[in-house]
Formats: sequence, structure tokens, C-alpha cells
Amino acid sequence: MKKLKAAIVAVAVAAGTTVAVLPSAHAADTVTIYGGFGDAQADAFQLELDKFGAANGITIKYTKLAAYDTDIRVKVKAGQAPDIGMWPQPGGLLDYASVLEPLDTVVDLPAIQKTLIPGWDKLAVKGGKIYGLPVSANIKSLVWYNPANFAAAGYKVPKTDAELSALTAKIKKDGKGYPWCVGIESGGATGWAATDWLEEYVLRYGGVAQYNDWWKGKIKFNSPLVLKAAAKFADVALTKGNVNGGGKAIAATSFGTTAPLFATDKNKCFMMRQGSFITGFFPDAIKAEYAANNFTHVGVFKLPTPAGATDGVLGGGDLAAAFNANPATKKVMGYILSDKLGQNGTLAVYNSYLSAHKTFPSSLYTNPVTKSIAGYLSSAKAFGFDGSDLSPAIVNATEWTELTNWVSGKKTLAQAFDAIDASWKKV
Amino acid sequence: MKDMLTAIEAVFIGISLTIFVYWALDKVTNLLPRRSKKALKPWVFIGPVVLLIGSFIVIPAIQSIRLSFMEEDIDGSTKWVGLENYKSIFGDENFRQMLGNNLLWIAIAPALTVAFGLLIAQLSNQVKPRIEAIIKSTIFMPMTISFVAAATIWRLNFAYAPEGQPQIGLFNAIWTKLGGSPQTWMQIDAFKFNSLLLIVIFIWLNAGFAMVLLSAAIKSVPEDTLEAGRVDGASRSQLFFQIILPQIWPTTLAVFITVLISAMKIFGIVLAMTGGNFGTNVLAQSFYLQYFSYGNTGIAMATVVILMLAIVPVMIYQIRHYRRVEADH
Amino acid sequence: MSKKKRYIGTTITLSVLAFIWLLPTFGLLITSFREGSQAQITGWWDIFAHPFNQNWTLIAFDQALNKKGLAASFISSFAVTIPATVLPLLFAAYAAYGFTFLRFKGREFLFSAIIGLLVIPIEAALVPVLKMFLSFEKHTGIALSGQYAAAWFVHSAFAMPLAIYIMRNYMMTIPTALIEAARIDGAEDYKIFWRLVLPISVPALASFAIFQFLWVWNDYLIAFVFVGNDHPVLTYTLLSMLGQYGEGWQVVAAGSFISLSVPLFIFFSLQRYFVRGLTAGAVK
Repeated sequence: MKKLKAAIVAVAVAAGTTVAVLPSAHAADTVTIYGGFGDAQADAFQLELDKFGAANGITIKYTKLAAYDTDIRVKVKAGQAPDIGMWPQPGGLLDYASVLEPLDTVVDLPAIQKTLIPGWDKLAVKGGKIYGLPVSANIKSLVWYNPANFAAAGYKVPKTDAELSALTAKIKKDGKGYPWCVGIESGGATGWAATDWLEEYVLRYGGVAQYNDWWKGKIKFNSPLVLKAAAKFADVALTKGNVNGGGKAIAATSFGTTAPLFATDKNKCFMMRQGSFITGFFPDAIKAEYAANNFTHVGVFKLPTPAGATDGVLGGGDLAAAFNANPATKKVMGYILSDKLGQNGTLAVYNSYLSAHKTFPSSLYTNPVTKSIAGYLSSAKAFGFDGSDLSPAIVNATEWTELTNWVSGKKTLAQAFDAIDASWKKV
Repeated sequence: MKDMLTAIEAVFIGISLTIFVYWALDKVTNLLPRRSKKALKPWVFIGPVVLLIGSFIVIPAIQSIRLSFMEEDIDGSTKWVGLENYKSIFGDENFRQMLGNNLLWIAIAPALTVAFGLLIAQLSNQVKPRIEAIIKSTIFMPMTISFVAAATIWRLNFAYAPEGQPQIGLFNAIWTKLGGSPQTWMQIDAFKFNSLLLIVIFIWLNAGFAMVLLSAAIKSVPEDTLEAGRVDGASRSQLFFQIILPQIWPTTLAVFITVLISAMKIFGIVLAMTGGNFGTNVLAQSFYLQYFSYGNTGIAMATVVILMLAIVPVMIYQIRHYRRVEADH
Repeated sequence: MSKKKRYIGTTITLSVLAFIWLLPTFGLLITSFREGSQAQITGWWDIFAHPFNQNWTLIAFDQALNKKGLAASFISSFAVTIPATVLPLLFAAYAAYGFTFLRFKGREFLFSAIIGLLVIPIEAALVPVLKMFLSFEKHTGIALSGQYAAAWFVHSAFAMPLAIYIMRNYMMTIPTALIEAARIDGAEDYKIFWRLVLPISVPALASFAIFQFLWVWNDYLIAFVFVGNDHPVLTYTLLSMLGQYGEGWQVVAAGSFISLSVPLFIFFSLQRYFVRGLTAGAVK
């Protein structure tokens, strides 16, 4: 009997230690946030969270997921969902609606909607309920150029689409470099940068209503509107001599490759259309200049609208959603969704931050480039949110792959578009 | 520092707990009457493993098969859809292309890997032992490299820069020196060239494995059989093909099967090199995409089931082979 | 040996092959020590063209370790790998003992069945195992998913077939008389295993340990799914760095070498066991 007792005690002790060792569900005053932004933007975000957390007795931890759209799925399926997730793709966010809290139970919706730029509250809505709202905005319709290189070659910033085409042709003829830098390589997400180009022109040629029908699947890819937009993109990117190395090079070049923009030899490129986040991809020396408000090498203008089309601005943003309605989560959501976010030190660390709130004081944008970008955002006549990011995840991913196939010359435009249209059947 | 302590703590507790469980099991069975003790003792030794394998391999594999007939929502709720997932897979042109790629891998990669391993094993048996050791280490070294690190190494090899810019990738540097224009190697899908390049990486990684095993087999070929051949005036290649190869054939086959299975399951190299783009997709990579990127659990599981079915014949062969070996003892 | 003829041509052929084999890795190593501005515009072979014109630096390693988080991943990799090596050894040794020295019904069938599992792809178990961890958590409140322990279990299970096979093959070479003698002396199986069989089996254990260590260290899928980004392992962090060459290749190269350092160290210091383990596993 003594032996049996000893054995039972031993087993009980073992079970006890197991439970004690494994970490329990995290404490109530801790909030975890997963998101996609890294480097300076992440540092700035964490800085503000720390300040807010210290004042409210909450520990807030932001973690960057390497590939947000895939990683969050694993996290959720593995039962490791954070308290708050921040999606760059509202369409992807809505896939998770059944495990998310509708925001009306989490935050004071009307107060937030009142300060948001109109339309930004309609991005992640399912069954009449809002599941995600923006914590930051970014503008995609930006053409970056190098003023020093422009001055040396005697080029002027184009104001209209016709001027832009003329400049492109002139650069090509002069042979001092290539007109455009285009790169769409992005590991498993290769191709997303090409979707932006397409969206720019669908938005402009079609206007907001048709644009929205398109990403909802009501207008096909293989339709006159989208084909026209694709032709315009092809005119810029795939015309021989416009981009160093052509379509194959575009598919092999990382979207964040900015070095040729700042080069001075004949391999340089003069213009690069990319979102406001690209400043984080500048070479270190340029980054330092830019942070010090030195604009010798960095300039930006809005991508011009073709004659007769709607003047539009394409943008994106990170949308926060809540996996629970704990008191601490509610508090943090209330803060990051308000126009207060960004006012407590973000811009000093990350000067490209853009708020999606119209009430965000523009005087805080100390960087003139950021300020003018904020101006494009608030003054846009037609604003389009990144359409592929609004589409269901499988359509989005198919669009990435198929546009890559087209740009690299593996498929014709019609074949690629048919494949994307077909992916709607799998939703 | 805190990370380190947590890690050390976890490692220590995990290992001691396991030892403890075995100890406790033994103690508990010792308390039983003699007869049942004798019957249960083997299970003290084997039971935990059966439990482990059962709950982490066998039951999950069966559940995967079940899931392949279902559709799953993000919150984990499921719905029976019958053969729908299989229909949608076989109706998909991408899938057919993928299957073709898998066949290409199976047809080329194992044979070349084994042939290469054999060549080096045989040649290195004819040089000074010191040189042999160095050569073998070199060929074997990639075997220890993870696919991600291998991908960095080969991405650098295949690196592309547009014409006129300095080429920092070895392939393009040589190619442009020879007068060609820079190539985006991973995009060339004519004659499946990019898949073939991926297979080159596979061979680079695995030839060492084949070499080591085959070299051991070659060294165990009895010297007198070779001597007999030499006396008959056989050339080096005759010695190899008529005397050595027949004797090491069982080993060669075993190595071939092992490499074949890893070629069937190929995933990492494709993920890290192309992400499955440019017509290089394979089954295991598609599982990854379907499950993690698209959230199509059902289709992902159906893909895995197809992969498993393909492996079954190989599995049967492997078990038979093992049985034969057992019988020889 | 003296009877063997040696051919200079063979030596040269082999040297060329070895050179080709080594070249890519060598290039990456060189790149990791180069300065960004140089690595961006010249290939690594430039060090031969302009040997005195190079700015050697360790900056890339510093960046990879501290800015890219490889230092923390290094620890995670160890925390996953060590138990995922030791535990399966223990499991397999126990089971192999049972399969070799104990008699019970269905022994051969069970053994063959376990070996047959060798070819079930990990992908086939991934999703249901995730679900299992979740329902375990629901019922017990113990969250395994996201912890190192989750990866230990899965790695242990998938290591079993090969490990048991190798261990049993080895144990079958231990004379049965030895075990019988111990039994006659009154030793229990538990004692025979720990005092007699396990010490004799050290060479086989060592060989398999090296194997398993490398496999786990280099694994991506299991660590990605079961441990994830709370404790990202090296392969995970490195994969997220792939493609970030805007500032040149040197940082990614340095990162790769940090992850390579451990396997290479093990390989070169324990090569003998390594080869023996391979031979024991597949050649019979």
C-alpha cells in the first residue's frame, strides 16, 4: 500500500507541475496586438501604446507578423489569436467576422465615425455590422522622383497625364536613364504592387461606383473598363525601354527597390509610383536626409489623371479589429481608433504616419511631403480603397499571381483576367 | 535574458517530466499481481510511443481524410460537402500543372541524386584517404543546411539585375560575360527550366546523403571479388558495372526510395525560391497556400490526401523491403 | 589499400566537383562580411579581383542579430531543438527495448506498422493536431499551441518510425545472453534498460541525436505552425528576411550564416557519428 500511495502522490505532483509550468492565459491588464507594420512605424506605434498603457495601467504589446495575411490565419486556427489584429486587407479581415467582435460592442462608434474621413467606416462591414476601422492610412497615388536628377536633366514635374506621357517619352529618348522603376516581387505576395497600378486606373476611368462594383466582383476583370486600365498600366510599365529590363525584371524586382531612383549613372530611373510607406525603403543615407527634412533627393507628386477621367486618389490603411471585448481591449481600441493616435510622439519617430481622421491636426505633419500627402487624402474627389485588399483573400491572392504571370509574359492579359474571374467561383 | 531563462526552464522541465512518467508507469505496474504485470510490462515500454504516434500521426491522418470531404469556417465549424473539394481540385488547370511538376520531380530528382552520389562514392574510393575525406565532407555539407538558408545561397546565385547594371549573381555574371543578356532564371518556364533549376538545388542538398550510404556499401564489397575481376583484366568501368554495382544494388534501391519520398514531399525549396509562382508549384506547396493563404481547409486536406495516396505504393514497397531484411536475419 | 591503383584524373575530377559544390556557400560567406555599398555593386568574387580594396566588416552580423531579431530566434531554436532531440531518443530507446527484448502479441505487426508510418507527410497531421491542441486547451485550460512543448510532441511523434528502426537494429546486436543473465540475477526490465541496454546503445543514440537535432533545427513548418511568432525560430525569421535585398545581400547572408553555424559546427565536430547514423538507418 505504501508503494501505491507513493505512486499516486508522484503522479499528482507531476500533473501539478505540468499545469504550473505552462503559462496560464495572459493577465487581464495585458493587451496584445498583431499587425503588419515594422521598423520605425512599429517603434512609433509601440511608443504611443506604452504612453497610453502607462496612464491606464495596461501593458500593451505590439508584434509584427512576418506575413500578416497568412500568419494571422495560423494564429487564429492555432488558438493564438491576439486581442487586437490590424489587417492591411479589409477583405481578409471580414473572413474572420465570425470570431471577431462587432465594433459597436467594443467602442463608441458614432464618436469615431464623426472624426473619420467619410467612407473609411464602410471598409469592413458584414451583415450591417462594422468589424474594422482604420488606425492609419496610406496613399498609393504617389509618384516619387529625385529632384536632383530632374534638375540635372532639365525635367519638370508633370501636372497632367499628357505631360507625364510626354516626359516618359522624352526621358526614354534622352537616354540618361529609364523613365520608370517598377518592382512587384514580394515573396509569397508577389504581384500585389501590380494590382495597385490597375486600381489607380480603374478608379479614374470608372469612378468610385464602378470601382466598388469591380472589387465586389460585379464587374469582371475581362471587361472593357478593366482592360482599358490594364492597357494604360502596360503603356507605362511594359512599353519597351520604360523600365529597365522590362516585364521580366519587374516580376523579379522587389517592390521596395528604390536604389535606382537615387543613382546617378545611366541605370537610374526617374520616377517610381508607390505608396507613402516607401520612404521606409529608401537607402539609409536618403532616409537620414529625409528624416532631417532635407529634400534634395526626394520629391513626390500625385499620379495625374488621364483627360476625361475622374480625378481620384487610391489609398489603403491598416484596420484594427477586436477578438474580444475585455475592458482592457475596449480601452485600447478606443484609443487607437480615435484621432488621438499619432498625436503622442509617433510623427517624431515615424514622420510618414497618416491619420484617417479629418480632425487630425495637420499642423502635426512637420514633414512637408507628409503634409502634402495628407492634403491629397483629405481633398480627394474620388477616393478608392485598395480594391484587391477588399476582395476575398482567394481572389486577392489569385490576382497577385495572375498579374505576375501577365507582367512577366507567362500569360496573355485575357488568360490572366479569365483566371482571376474564375477565382470568384471559389469564394 | 528572460527568453533564455524561460527556454532553459522549459527544456529542463520537459525532459525531466518525461523521464518521470516512465518511472511512474513502471512503479504503478509493479504494484499489480504477477500475471497482469507480465502482460502489461511491454506496454510500459511501448505504450507511450503508441500513444504518441496514435495521437499525433494516425488519428490526425484519418481526420485529415475526413476533412478533405468537408468545408471549414474560420471559427472551426465544418460542413460535409462530399467530393466537392476533389472535383474542384481536378477541375483546376493549376492543379494539373502542379501534378505535372510533381511527376517531373519524381522522374528526375531521385535518379540524378542517386547517380551523382554513386559517381562520387565510387570515384572517391579510388583516391587518397585524406582527399577522400575532404571531398566527402564538401559534398555532404549542404545536407546540414536548412532549406531557407539554401534558398539564400541559391537566390544569390540566381540574382538578377537589369542589363547594364553590375550582376552580383554568379549565374548572370557568367552568362553576361559569355555575351548573353541577364536572365531572371526563376521565371524561365520553357521546358520547365525553372523547375529543373530547383531540382539542381535539391541534388546539391541531397547527393551527399546518397554518397555516404553508397560509399559505405562500396567499401563493404569483398576485396576478393574485385581481385578476381582484376585478374580477368576487367577495366575500371567493367569492375564497377559488373562487380560492384550488382552487389550494392539493394542499398542503391533503398537510398533511391528514401530520396524519392523526399522528392514527392518537396515543399521548402519551392516555397523559398519562387513561392510556387512561374509554374513551379507542387502539391505540398499548394497545401500550404490553400490552407494558410486562402483558408480552404477542405481543399488543402484533399491535396494532402492525394499526396498520401501517391506515397502509399512506395510505403508498401518500403515495408516489404523491411520484411525481407528481417527474414534474412 | 596498397593494391588499389590511384588515378590523378579521378582526383582532379573530384576536386572540381567539390569546388563547384562549395562555391555557392563560400560566396554567401564572403558576402556576409562585405560592406553594403560594395556588396550592392559587385559580386563576391570581386575580392579576388581587388583583394586590397575591400572594406571587411561585421556590421551585417550585428544588424542581423540585433535589428532583425536573429539573436532571440537563436535561443528559440535551441529551446525547440534540444528537447525535440532528447525526448524522441528516450521514447524510441524505450520502445526499441520493448520490441527487441520483450515478447508480446502483435509485436511484429505493430513494429511494421510503425515503420510504415515513415512516409506519412507532416502536412497530413498538421491541421488535426492544431485542432487537438485547441480542444485540449478548452477542456484543461492548458495552452500548448504556441509553446515550445507543442513542437516537441509533434517532432517526437514524427521522429519515432526512423528512430525506433535504428535503435532496434542496434539493440538486436546486443547478445541476448547478456540480458538473460541480468534477468536471472533478478534485475527488472526497468533496471536492465537504464543500467545495461541504454549505456551499450550510446553510439546509436548519438548518431540518431545528431540527425534529429539537424532535422529539428532546420525545420520550418512545425515551428511555424506550433510555435509561431511568439518565439520565432531561426528558419522563420530568416524566411521573412528573404527578398529584403534593397540594402544589399550582406544582412540576409549574415543571417543565413548565423543559422548555419550550429549545424556546421555539429557536422564538422561529430562527422563520424553522423555517417554511422546514416549507415545504420538505411543500409541493412
